[in-house]
Amino acid sequence: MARTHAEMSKATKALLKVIKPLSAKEERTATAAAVKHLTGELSERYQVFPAELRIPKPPRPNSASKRMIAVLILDYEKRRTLEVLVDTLGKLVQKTELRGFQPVFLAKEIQVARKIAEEDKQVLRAIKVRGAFASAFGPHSYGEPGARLIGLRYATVDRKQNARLLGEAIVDLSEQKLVHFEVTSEEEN
Amino acid sequence: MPAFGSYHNVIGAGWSVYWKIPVASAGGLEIWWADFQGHRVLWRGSQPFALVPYHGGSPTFKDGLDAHCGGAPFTALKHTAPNSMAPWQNPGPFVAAVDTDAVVATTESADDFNPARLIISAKFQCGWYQYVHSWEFSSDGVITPHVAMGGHVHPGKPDVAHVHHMYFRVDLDIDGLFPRDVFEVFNHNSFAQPGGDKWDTLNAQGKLLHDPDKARKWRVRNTVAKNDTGQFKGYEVELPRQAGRDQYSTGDVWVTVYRGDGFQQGENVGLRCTDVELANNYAVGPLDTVNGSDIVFWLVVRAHHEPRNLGEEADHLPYHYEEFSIVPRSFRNAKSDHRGQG
Repeated sequence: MARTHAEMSKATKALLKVIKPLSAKEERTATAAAVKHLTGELSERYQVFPAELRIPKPPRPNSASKRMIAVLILDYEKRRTLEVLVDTLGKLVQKTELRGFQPVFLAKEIQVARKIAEEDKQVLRAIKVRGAFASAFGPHSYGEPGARLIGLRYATVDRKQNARLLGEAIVDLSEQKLVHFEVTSEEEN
Repeated sequence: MPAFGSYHNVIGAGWSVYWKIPVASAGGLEIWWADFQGHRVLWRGSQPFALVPYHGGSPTFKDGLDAHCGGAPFTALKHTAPNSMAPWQNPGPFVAAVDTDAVVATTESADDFNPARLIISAKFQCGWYQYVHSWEFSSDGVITPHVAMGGHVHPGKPDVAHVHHMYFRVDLDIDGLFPRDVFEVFNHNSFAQPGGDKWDTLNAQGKLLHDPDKARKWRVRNTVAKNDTGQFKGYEVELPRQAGRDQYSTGDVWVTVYRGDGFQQGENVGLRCTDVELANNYAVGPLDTVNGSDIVFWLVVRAHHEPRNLGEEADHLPYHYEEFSIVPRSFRNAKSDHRGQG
């Protein structure tokens, strides 16, 4: 438990028992429990994000906060983002559909999106430039609501450190396909 | 310990504060449980997203949490990462592997001109841009959240001006008592004495507009806790104005109530590259003017950026800071040592 200090309020001192970092075991238990609580609701293609400690406000100022764990699950096919809140034993506390919310892009999702995009001949042609790189962005809504869309902005930087945009791709991971690509013209640069 | 998502405590300048960078939000640095001299002030504060409309009608990025409209998530960088194009071009060496690589907490002693300060800072890559989140806690009880923009200008529009509308979410719990706070609006209407200045208590959640001509400010005031002169404890919000509202960023402050820490954090705002969802979906419902509510407010800090791409900003953007202040009013005792109370 963290040390207490005179600067801390009584309310914060009361939290010290519940805010220690998640253990690997807690994370495993929470993740497995969250997936189990969604049995029958998830498609075959879903992504579980790393579990996160959650300390909700207690019901009253002087009552104790509970240690809870939030597990975010994105279902690609059903186009849903769900947050499952469990206690430290994996018991379900709350299940919330975060309609439309796009969590952070995971590195492996960006890898998959790049692979899909770069199988396209037009994309390949546009990015066949020395030092080309891609960075992810959140695109405008496209297609069905809730689709997992990853934008990829391709660019290059020359020896004089001048940056040039090459093109923008939008990959729908729900459909697992490239849904849009636009070459950035010389004029736009 | 998980790489991200844990709460870290820092102490200094009379404050105890926790910080956290969440695992999956992409919304940057979060401040939790800020206590001043043994008294809770803040449950949570963050700057989860920004709207950035460019001249010419496009783009209008929504950066940060739930990025849309071409905007990018906030990715924590090592605090040593350079303010340059390099972390955009090749993030590998610069992205923080764990949250403690990203955050710097420092304490500065009081001097002849300033109070002691506890400062918590981190920088985030966002496309070619960088954002710095920095929260300063002073020994006089003031909280000053700062946000800076750096990195590089838009490679395709290096000379096109744009506005950074940076949205903060602030959940004050005055003296740790909730739901016992009211939200009030101040106007300096005239030089009449008394009565030229007026505080009004809000009875409903909603969008509020700034008016610097009326020295407008806002206050979260407790309805129960008083200091030793019998004044209700509160914290005021002072917002300098460097740019105005527009069709994308339509308000200055939104008053809402606490609906949990996993919901209404900035998600589903900016779907059409504006902030209308804050007024339409977040700031909806009554407020209790007698017993108080559990107030959460949103606020925008703005900067109009006319790029100096043919000069000082040719190879990188020197960090440009904007800020607002959360200032105590009657939070401390006037007669006795504060620490002994409550």
